[in-house]
Amino acid sequence: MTRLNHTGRTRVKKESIDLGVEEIDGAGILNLEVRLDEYGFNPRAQVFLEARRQTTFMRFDLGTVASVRSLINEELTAFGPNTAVTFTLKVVSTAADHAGRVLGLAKGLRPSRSAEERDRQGILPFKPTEDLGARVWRLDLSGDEPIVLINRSVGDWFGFARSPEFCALVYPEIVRLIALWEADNDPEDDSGPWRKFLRGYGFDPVNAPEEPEPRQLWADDVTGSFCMHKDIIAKVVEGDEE
Amino acid sequence: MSQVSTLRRFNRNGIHEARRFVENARLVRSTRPGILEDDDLTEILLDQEVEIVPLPNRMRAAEVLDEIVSAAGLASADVRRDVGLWTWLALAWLDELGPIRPTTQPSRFVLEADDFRTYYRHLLSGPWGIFDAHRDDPQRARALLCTATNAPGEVVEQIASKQDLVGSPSVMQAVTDLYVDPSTGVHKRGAAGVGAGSARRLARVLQQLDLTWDVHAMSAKEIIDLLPKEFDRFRPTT
Repeated sequence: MTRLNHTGRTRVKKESIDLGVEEIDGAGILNLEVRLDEYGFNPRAQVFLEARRQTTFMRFDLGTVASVRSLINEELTAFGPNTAVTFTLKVVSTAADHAGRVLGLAKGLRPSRSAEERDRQGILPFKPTEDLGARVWRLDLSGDEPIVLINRSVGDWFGFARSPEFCALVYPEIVRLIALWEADNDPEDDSGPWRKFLRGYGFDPVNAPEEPEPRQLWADDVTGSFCMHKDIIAKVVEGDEE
Repeated sequence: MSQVSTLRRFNRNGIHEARRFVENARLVRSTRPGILEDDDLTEILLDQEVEIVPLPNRMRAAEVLDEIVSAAGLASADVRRDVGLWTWLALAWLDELGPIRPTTQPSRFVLEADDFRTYYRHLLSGPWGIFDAHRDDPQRARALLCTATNAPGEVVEQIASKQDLVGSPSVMQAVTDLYVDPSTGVHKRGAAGVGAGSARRLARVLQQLDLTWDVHAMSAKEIIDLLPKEFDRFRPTT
């Protein structure tokens, strides 16, 4: 079922935003460049970047669409070191009859990973954490890309996350959760690698059923297809024989 | 009034043992944990007595904890994610915050600082985090700070769980203006319900408005004026 956006708001594509955060001397340093030429926004509309994590919030005035300014080495003063900050870009009308209305929006932005990081981590980054209590892993879907959190207490978390057992038992569930997450995401946002990944298995999240039960069955089918193509059972059997 | 001698934080093993204590306490009645002053599980932060004073509501809890954090010379940005400190404080105040029951969520006592789904539920870090975010005028966040420290309630659950709402001064002022009775300082009847005009509905409506309007640049009154009729009975009269 096609979902409609009745607000007249334009989705600002992630390709239009270069956003990076570096840790320097314990502080998060933000660099940002925004390109809005293709959207046809009113040149006098204002542009803001909002940074938030939990209760902490910062807002940067980037000027107008006609002269949107970049941020260079801007310190994220309100946030502690190594903090996963999420960003929102807003284009806001200043016209008298629509003042304050959001004309353009990009939500859930996270700093882009470097090309080197992307090559190393692929589309599914893993991150060790001490925050999972007695749980071994959890899929974090709070940002614009899924991250697998692994309990640091397991020791060699990196090796653990690549073990045949983990791949066989956990990866299918990760794929199922990501399929459901993608199905909930903006249908117009085609930029994410996971949509391409799922389409590669013949499942387009845009066409996922809306009703809860058929939607779950759809996700189960995605998982089954993934397991078949990755020959998960054979990997488990091989693991047992070794 | 009971006291603990020094302000401490749990180390990594201490956090593990604290979590084990909370999990066990959910199954059998909680007693005072014996790990609070274990030198192998904790480190001293401030060689000064910390008095376990009553914390009748979240505002008072936030004020007391802010004094403790300030006395220890800890920076807000570091304190927010200090799992060892908040978990130690929650267990130090267990007599006030407990008892731990089978239905108690462990995250009420053991801070899950990086889990956006549960971080705000911590009984002490939760109110302090809101207080800290609205430090210039904590009263604007009164709607999230006026309930009992050990029973935050539905208004807190619905609003504090929304990261795109809880840090905004104008949104917080609007929530307080809507739901706090100025004559009593506590929630108006029905705010914590599930029906029309409740905090549950407000969270949804505000998240929708946030997609259409630049609510952070609006005043609390402008936000309230945008709300649909179902909120009429909560609108401030002046």
